[in-house]
Amino acid sequence: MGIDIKSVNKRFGGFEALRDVNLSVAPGEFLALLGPSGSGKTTLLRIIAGLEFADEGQVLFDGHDVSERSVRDRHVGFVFQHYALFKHITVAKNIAFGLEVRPRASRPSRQDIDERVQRLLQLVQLPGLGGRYPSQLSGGQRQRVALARALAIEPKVLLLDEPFGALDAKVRKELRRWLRKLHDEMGITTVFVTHDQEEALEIADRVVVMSKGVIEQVGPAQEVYDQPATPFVYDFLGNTNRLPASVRGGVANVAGLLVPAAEVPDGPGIAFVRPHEFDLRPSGTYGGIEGTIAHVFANGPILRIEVNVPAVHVAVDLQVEVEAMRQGVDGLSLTRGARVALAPRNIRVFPDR
Amino acid sequence: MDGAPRSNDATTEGPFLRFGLSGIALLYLALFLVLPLVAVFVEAFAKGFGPFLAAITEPDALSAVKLTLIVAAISVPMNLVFGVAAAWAIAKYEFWGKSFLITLIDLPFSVSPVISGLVYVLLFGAQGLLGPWLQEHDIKIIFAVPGIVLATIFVTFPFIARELIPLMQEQGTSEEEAALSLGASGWQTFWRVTLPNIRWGLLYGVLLCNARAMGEFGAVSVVSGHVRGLTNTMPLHVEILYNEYNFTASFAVASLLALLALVTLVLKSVLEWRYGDEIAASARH
Repeated sequence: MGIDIKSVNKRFGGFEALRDVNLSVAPGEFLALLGPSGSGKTTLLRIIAGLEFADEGQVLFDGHDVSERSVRDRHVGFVFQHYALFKHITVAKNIAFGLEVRPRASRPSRQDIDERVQRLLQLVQLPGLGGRYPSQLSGGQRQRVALARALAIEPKVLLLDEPFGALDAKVRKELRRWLRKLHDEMGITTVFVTHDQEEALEIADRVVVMSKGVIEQVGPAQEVYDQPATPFVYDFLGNTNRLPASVRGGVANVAGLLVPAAEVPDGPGIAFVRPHEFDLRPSGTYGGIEGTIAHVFANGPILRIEVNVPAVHVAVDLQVEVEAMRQGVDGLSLTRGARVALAPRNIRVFPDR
Repeated sequence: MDGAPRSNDATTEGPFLRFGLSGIALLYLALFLVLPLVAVFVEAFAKGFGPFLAAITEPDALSAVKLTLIVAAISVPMNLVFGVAAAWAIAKYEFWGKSFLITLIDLPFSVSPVISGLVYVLLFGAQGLLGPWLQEHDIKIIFAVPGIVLATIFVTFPFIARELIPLMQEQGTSEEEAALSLGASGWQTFWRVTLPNIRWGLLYGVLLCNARAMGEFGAVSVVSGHVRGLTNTMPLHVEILYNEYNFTASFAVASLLALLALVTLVLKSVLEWRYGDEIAASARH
């Protein structure tokens, strides 16, 4: 099922949680809403679910306006950050809940319900645990039960609110890959909220980066990472170096290096370069920023090098972080105090506001 | 001496202080709680079992027991419904005047019961605000059962609501939201999710509320009029007998009240013992 969000605004008292948000989710898509806390990502998810209602704007499911429908009538599968399992009933009863509360006419028979519960337990890899209570399960198991419970009502959309946020790193990694596989098998439209960029980039088809109630960028994970549209996205997704620049006539001067910046107005600017997007060259090479090596950290095959760049625009020296594969810098002297040239493979300049 | 506890842990005091503190606590309990309780039963049976039985089967005593049970049977369910409703509203919704409502619920705790009884007399009594109208329509509230029930409800109102508000606030709304998202109606959500989550707090509140409803003296005393065999509850009957120097009968009825309190306590302990794991589990999450 496809979802369309049209011009949605939401305020909580004086706080503007969402400002004119527009978004389309394609049928069968796996979409991540990514942003820091307070960016409005959870509010957007809850508005899609019908747990919150937009002040203005519309939510469409397959072209039908569902803005006024309650969560009960939207028929979505919702998975909560802290599982929200019913702790007084068993795992099997939890999963069966959505079927058992149906009116008699549309309720499956006792046997059908039992069968479906067993199938779902199998699906979430917890066979034989139906008789346990939620308190007897680990965090990862609980979240899988919550997922099975949401899937039991055969929703057309699956919405997950920071589903792995409360789990430890290893379980989180396993579970998210498993979720992606599950999605590929079932093909159900899935939207999940996360503040973990690694999680979003790894498993989502498309990533929606949000900040302060506004969508900053929407795109395939790789594209959002490689071509951030705004300084915020650059900063939020992965490590980055911020280098002061001055722009004149469509050309930016970044610590002596001239780079094209056609769409940036004249005046101060900021150039962004990720640590791994520098090539280390011998000092004096054309097209590089000259600097002095301050520290070298060897971390397995990866070298993290801090380079001091005499800054043109700021009083103190700039420290630039560079990441390089060890075999890529053969023949260069990387001792402290050595002079090198940093040639950016990918550099973006934004106006400094 | 493997596994023997060592006494020089940072948080473990010397034996003198340990036994001293325990001794003080036990002595205090014995002096102010156990001794009076024992005294009630000793006095009740001071002249043997015959006079005790006579005192509690005498018609006025029986009618006092009956009235007390009726009052509790009306006021506890009413406070149950209102307490759950108030706690639900306060814990699950944000609305204007919420903190005022919480203060209002606490009012009966902070007002002397005598005052609350007096308020009803001033409202519904013969010289009261609504008195003439009530007389015209031949409705008796003050010096009758309705007044006693009203005063009891007023005094015992906070018990259930107070027990539930922190519990429901701590539990939040996500389980209810989960139930709704799975297609449950509001009513199904309440019966299948909310109520099971609060049942122990609710039960505890009901027990406390019931104990107080049966034992309430001040407010009931003001509105009852002390008509023997008609508007006397057990606590009032105890006082009347005592004032008539009928000590054995007075303590006999008092021992019945004390027994009710003990049964309440035992019931609570049994429930905690029987369902201890479940209670702890629901408190943990």
